[in-house]
Amino acid sequence: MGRKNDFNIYTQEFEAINKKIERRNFLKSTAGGMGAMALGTLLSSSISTKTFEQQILDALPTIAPKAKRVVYLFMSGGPSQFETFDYKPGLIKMQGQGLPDSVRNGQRLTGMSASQALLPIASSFANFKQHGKSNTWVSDLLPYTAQVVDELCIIKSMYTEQINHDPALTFFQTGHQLPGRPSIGSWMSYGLGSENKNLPAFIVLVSKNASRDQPLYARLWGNGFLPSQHQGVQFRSGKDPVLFLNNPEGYDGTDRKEMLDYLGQLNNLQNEVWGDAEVDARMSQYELAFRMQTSVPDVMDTSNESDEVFDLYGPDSREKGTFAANCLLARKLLEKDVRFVQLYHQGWDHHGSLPQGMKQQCKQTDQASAALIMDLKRRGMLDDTLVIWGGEFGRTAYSQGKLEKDNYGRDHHPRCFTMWMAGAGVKPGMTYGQTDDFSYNIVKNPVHVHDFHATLLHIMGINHEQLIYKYQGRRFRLTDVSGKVINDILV
Amino acid sequence: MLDFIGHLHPLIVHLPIGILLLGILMMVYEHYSKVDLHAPISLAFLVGSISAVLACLAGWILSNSGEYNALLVQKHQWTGISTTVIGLLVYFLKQYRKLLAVILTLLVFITGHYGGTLTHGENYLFNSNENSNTSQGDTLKKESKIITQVISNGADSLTIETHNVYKEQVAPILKLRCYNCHAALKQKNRLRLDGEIFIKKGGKNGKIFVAGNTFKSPLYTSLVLPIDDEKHMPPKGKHQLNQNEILIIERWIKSGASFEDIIDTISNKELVKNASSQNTIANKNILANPEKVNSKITETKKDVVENNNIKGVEKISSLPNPAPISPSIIEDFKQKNIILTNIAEGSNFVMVNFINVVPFNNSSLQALKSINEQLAVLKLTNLPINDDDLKVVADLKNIKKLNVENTLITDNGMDYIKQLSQLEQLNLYGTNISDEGIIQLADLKNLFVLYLWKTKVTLNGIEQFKKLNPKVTIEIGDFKFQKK
Repeated sequence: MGRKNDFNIYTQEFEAINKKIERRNFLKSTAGGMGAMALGTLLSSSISTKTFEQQILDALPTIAPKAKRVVYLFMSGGPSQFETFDYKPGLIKMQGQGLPDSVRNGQRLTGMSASQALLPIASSFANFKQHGKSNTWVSDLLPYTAQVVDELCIIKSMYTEQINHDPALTFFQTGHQLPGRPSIGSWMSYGLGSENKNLPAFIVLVSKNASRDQPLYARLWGNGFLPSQHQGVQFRSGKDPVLFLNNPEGYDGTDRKEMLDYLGQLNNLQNEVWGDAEVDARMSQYELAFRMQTSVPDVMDTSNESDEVFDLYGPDSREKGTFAANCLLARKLLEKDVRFVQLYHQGWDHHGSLPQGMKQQCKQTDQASAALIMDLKRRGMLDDTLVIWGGEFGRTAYSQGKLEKDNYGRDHHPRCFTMWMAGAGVKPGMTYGQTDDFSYNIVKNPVHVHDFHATLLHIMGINHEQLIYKYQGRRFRLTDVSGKVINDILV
Repeated sequence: MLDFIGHLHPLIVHLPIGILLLGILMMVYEHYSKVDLHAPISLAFLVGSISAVLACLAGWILSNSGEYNALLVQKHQWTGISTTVIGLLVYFLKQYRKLLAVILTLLVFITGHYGGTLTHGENYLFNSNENSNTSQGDTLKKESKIITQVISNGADSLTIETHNVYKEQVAPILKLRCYNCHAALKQKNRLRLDGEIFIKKGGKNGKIFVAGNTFKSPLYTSLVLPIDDEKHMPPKGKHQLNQNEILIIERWIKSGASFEDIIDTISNKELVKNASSQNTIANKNILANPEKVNSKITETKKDVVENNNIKGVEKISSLPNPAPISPSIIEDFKQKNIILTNIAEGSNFVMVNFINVVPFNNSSLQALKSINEQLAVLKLTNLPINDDDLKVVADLKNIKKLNVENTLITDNGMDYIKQLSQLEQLNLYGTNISDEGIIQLADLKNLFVLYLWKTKVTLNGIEQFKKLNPKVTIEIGDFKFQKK
C-alpha cells in the first residue's frame, strides 16, 4: 500500500514537472494574489482580466517592495560589539572582576573559555563618542562610519542560536545550522529573478586583504536544493574574475557560440523527455556564462572611476581584491541592477590580541563601508538599495585568557550582538534594541536571525511565509517555521 | 464497531439495488424470450431483499450519527424500508409479482435518489457545482451588493464602495466547496457552514476559527494540510479549493473574520491620504451621514493596521489601479528585452527598465506609449537619450519615479518632465541640467526628492528652487569625509 502511494505521489510530481509547473508556481498561480506580481517580471500567464475576487484582493493590503537590491557586508568571525557600537562604560569600574553569575545565568560557554577559573570583565579599549543628529554612540575605531551614522539603522539586540563559526555562519546565510539549505541570495534570486540578464542575480566578493582566521565555504552562497542557476557566483580579483568563464586558449568565440547552440539543442531534447529542472538550470547557466564573457570584464573594470571616487572609498580601493575595492565593485554591480551582492571580510575572530586585531579590521572596512552608503546616496540608489553590515555572532564581556591593560581577547557570544542596515526600507538614524550593562543579555527588543531574514524579505516585497520551495516531500522557507518582521525599524 | 457498520451503508446499499434490479430485468427477459428463469428470479429477489434488510440496519445506525438532515433521512429511511418490504413481497407473492415489480422499480429509484441527495447534496443530479470560473463569477456578482456612494463637493469628489467580504467572497466559496457536507442537508462532524451562527458555533471538535489567527483556525488549516492528511478538507477526491479561494479565506480570517466587515474603495487621492485622520470627512461635511461612513473608513484602516501590524503593507498607490496590460503588449516588451515588472503584488502599475536593451535604439522608447496609464517607475539610466526622446515620457501621466541620470538630456527636456504631475522622485545626476532647468520643475507638487549630483546646478539655483518648493529634498552629492 505504502509503496503504491509513494508511486502515486511520484507520478504526480513527475507530471507536475512535465507540465513545467516550475519555480514560483505557488506564487504565480494566484495571479495577482500574493506575491505573484511582486516577484519577477511580468509573464503573460499571470495576466488575465480581473475577476471580481481580485478586485477585492486589491483592496486588501499588500506588501510594497522598498528595496530592489541588497548589498550585504558580512563581517565573518564575529566582530566585537564592545569595540564598535555597544557602548558599556559601566564595565570600566568592573575591569578584571569576574562576570557575575547572575548575568551569565548558567548559560553555555564555548570549550575555549569554559574551563577558565575566572571570567574577568574586559572593558573596551576603544573610546566612544556620540555622533550625528541621532547622537548615536560609535567607537573611535570607526571614524568614517561615525560620519554616516545618521544613515544607519543599528540593531544592538541581534541574537543567534549558534556559538561556533561554521554553524553560526551557515545559520545566518541559510536559516539553518546544518549545510544544505539555500542561502539568502539564492532565495532572492529564486523569488525575484534577475534584472540584468547579462550578470548573475547573486554575486559574491571575498576580501583578499583580510586575515583568514576562519574559513569560508562556497556553500555559504550555495543554492541548496533550489535550481542551480540561483547559486551565488564568486567574482575574484585578478585575471580570471569568474573561474572557467573565458574560452580556452586558441578557441574562437564564434566556435564557442556554435558549440553552445548545438549543446542547447541536445539539452532541449533531453528536457522534452525528462523535464528536469536541472536541465533548465544548466542551459541558462551556459547562456549566462557566454554573455558574461563580455559583461564581466566590463563591470570589473574600474579604470573609468575618478580619483574622487577612489579617495572616497579610501586608499585600499585602488588595490584590487581589498574590501574597499570590493565595495566599489559592489556599487558598480548594483548600478547594473544585480539583485544581491554579498561581500565577505574575514578576520574578526579575536580570541586574543583583540585591540590590535580590531584596529586592523576596522581600518580595512570602516571607510569603504561608509563610502558605499554615501556613494549610493548621491547616485539616488540608496532609495531602493539596502546595505547590511554584520557578523555571525558577538563577543563576550569577559576576556578569554589573560586580561592585560592593553591586551585581551573575547570569546564567541551568540546571545547579543550588533549589526546595522542602511538605505531602502529601514529608518535612518535609528538604534534598535538594548542589551544589559554587560552586553551579555538582551533586555529590549530581541531580533533573532529568523526575524532578520523575515524583515529582509519583507523589505524586498516578499512575505517570508510565502516564499516556499518544496523539496523531499516537505516545504522549505528561509525562515523555517519562524521569523517575524521587525516593524519598528521599517520606514 | 457500530459506527463502522454504519459506514458500510453506502457499500451494502448497492447490493439490493443491483440484485433487485437484476431480478426485474430477468423478469422482463423471461417475458420476451420465453425462457424459464423462475428459479434465478426468485433467488435474486430473496438475496436482494435480505441485502436490503442489512442495508436498512446499517443505514439506521448511520442515521444516528446525526450528521444528516433529519427530514431527508426520514424520507430515505421509509422509502428504503418500503423497498425492502416490497422486495420480500415480490419474493413471496408470486401471483402479484409483475405489479409489485413495477412498484419495486420505482421505489429503488426514489430511495436511491434520496440517498444520493444525502450524500452529494441537493441538486446534485441536474445542477453540477463543478462549473467554470465564469459561472462562479456570475454567482458572486449576483450575490454582491455594492453600495456606491458618490459624494461631490465642488472639485473634490469621492466614491465609496462598501463591500461585505463574507457575503461576497467567503460564503460563495463555502457554498461551492463545503455546503455539500456541511450545510442543512448534511452536517459532517456536526458542522454547518451555511450561516454566520453555524460558522461561529463550530462543529463536534469545537470552534473552527479564531479571528485574526489563521493557524488556530481549522477553517483555514484544514485547507492547507497535505491532501493525504485525514484532517485535510475538502476530503481527497472531492473538488479542492484553488489558491485564490484559499487566499480569500486566509485573508478574511486574518483580517478578523468579520461577517460585517466593510472595505471601502475610495477613488479620491486626498481622502486616502487623510483617511487615518479621523475627522477628514466629517470636517468636510459633505456626507449625508458623515459619521457613519467616517467610522467605516477608520475601522477599515484600523483593521488593516492592527491585523497586519506590518509596515509597508498598504495600498501601493493612491491612484486607482489601472487596467492590466494586455498579454500582447507584455509579449512585445519581452521581445524587445524591456523589463516590465509590477510595482507590487495586486497592482497593475509597472516599472520599466531598459538595462537589457542592447544595443539601445532611441525608437524603442515608443513602446512606452502603449502603457502610459500603467507606468509608474521608469529607469533610463546610462542611455543615450536626449531631450526629444522625453516627448514620450511627457505622456506618462501616472509616473512617480523617473531615472534619467547619466543621459544626454538638458534643460530643454524639462518642458516634458514638468508635465508629470504625479512625479515624486526624479534622478538627473550626471546630466547637463542647470539652474534654468530645475526651476521649471518647481511646480511639481508631488515631487519630494531630486538628485542633482554632477550637474550644472549651482547652490544659488537650489536656493531659488527651495523658495518655490521647500519640501523637496535635493541631493547634490556634496558629502565629503572629514579626514581623521
